[in-house]
Amino acid sequence: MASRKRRKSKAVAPVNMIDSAMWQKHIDAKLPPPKQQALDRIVLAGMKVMFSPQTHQMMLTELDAKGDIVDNLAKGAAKLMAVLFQQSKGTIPQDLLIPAGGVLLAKACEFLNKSGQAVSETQFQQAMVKMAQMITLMAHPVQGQPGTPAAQPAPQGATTPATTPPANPLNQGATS
Amino acid sequence: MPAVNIVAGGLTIAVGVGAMAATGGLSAPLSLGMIAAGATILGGAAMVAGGVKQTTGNSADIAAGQQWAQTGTMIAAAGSIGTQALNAAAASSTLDATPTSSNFLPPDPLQGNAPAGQLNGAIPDSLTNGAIQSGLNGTSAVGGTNPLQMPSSFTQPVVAAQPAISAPNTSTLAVAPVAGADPNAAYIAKGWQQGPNGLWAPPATIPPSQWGTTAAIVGGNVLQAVGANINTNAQNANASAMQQQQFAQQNQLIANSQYRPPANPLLSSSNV
Repeated sequence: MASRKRRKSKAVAPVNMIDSAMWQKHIDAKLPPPKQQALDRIVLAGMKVMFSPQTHQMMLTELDAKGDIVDNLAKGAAKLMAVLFQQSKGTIPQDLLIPAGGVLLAKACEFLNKSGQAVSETQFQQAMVKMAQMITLMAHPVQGQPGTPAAQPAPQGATTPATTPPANPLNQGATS
Repeated sequence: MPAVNIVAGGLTIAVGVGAMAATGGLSAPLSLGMIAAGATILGGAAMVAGGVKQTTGNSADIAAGQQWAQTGTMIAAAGSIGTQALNAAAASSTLDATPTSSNFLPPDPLQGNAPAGQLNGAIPDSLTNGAIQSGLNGTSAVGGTNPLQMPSSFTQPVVAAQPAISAPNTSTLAVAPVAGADPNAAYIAKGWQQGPNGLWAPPATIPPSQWGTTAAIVGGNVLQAVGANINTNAQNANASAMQQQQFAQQNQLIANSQYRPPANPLLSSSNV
């Protein structure tokens, strides 16, 4: 019986964590329906910014900026959420900024993987944590103070050294 | 690139390079509580996703799933982590500040009694256990380089600077010689009296509290006179030696009565 169960579990297909649809499904499961719709709209808006012909180049510029891919992904997603929030005149539900950022981050990783620039699961993992920290710091800006992320254990297998963002972590490597 | 309007999800989004860069000041304030709630949602999703990944039974997937569960915890804690980071950064900034006479009072980070406006004593407990200590030991604990390292001035003994007082160098006396001047004339004019040991003492009518001022006045006069004497009697070794002795005594008198240590910047009234 037990051996049959074990055989059964071996048959489960590997789970690809860089899957935006999967992330949206897991997030939706934690939201009431109105918030699910709001999440859909935010993700749609973000995708338009990322992939519209007029603005797609900007996303590529963000991802190609100096620094490693983890930083660029995290900063890009956090910046995107800041732009969306700004342009919505603050109407985006604030508790959806990080979840929507996570979905859009997965979209960006999917895009990069399809385009041949491999993003590992660990890098995606690190970028997601960093993005959450950056968006959190946006909620608590301190003028003139370095917004140093707190000491914390990196995910196992992490190879990226800890970085120290400036006062506004999103302005480092600005593309203006 | 000029701003581009995109209509998506019911939003009209003006996106341009400037807009992407100018995220420093959001027009609407963000609520840390709401943001942290969002972090909890995404963190929870990560934990669930990690759990699903482990169901494959593959040892690599199990390990990766556990990592994702850990990541979920970290994402969920992003709100409090962000607050802690800002407090740590504030502490680092305060402790690295160069002390000045007008604004510096060393905070005691372990007691949380930093001056108002600098830290407000708010260091989370989680940071005081080890992080600050390792910072004080010179190792990086909270990001950055030795963020909590004490400034070197803390390790130096607090000794008020005093001007060096020594016998004048006769070769550098910049006083024009006064021919025939009596080196003691200034003392005598001010009513000072020379004792049997050769020392000059101010008159009894001058209270000790004013000796410094008086000595300074007299000293200025004597300096001129001594300069004259030395310059006009350069060959008289004994006279010169005697004047040197008087001058040393004069300086000592000034040192004892007039000089007070400069205000200790660390204890200036503006900080107490």
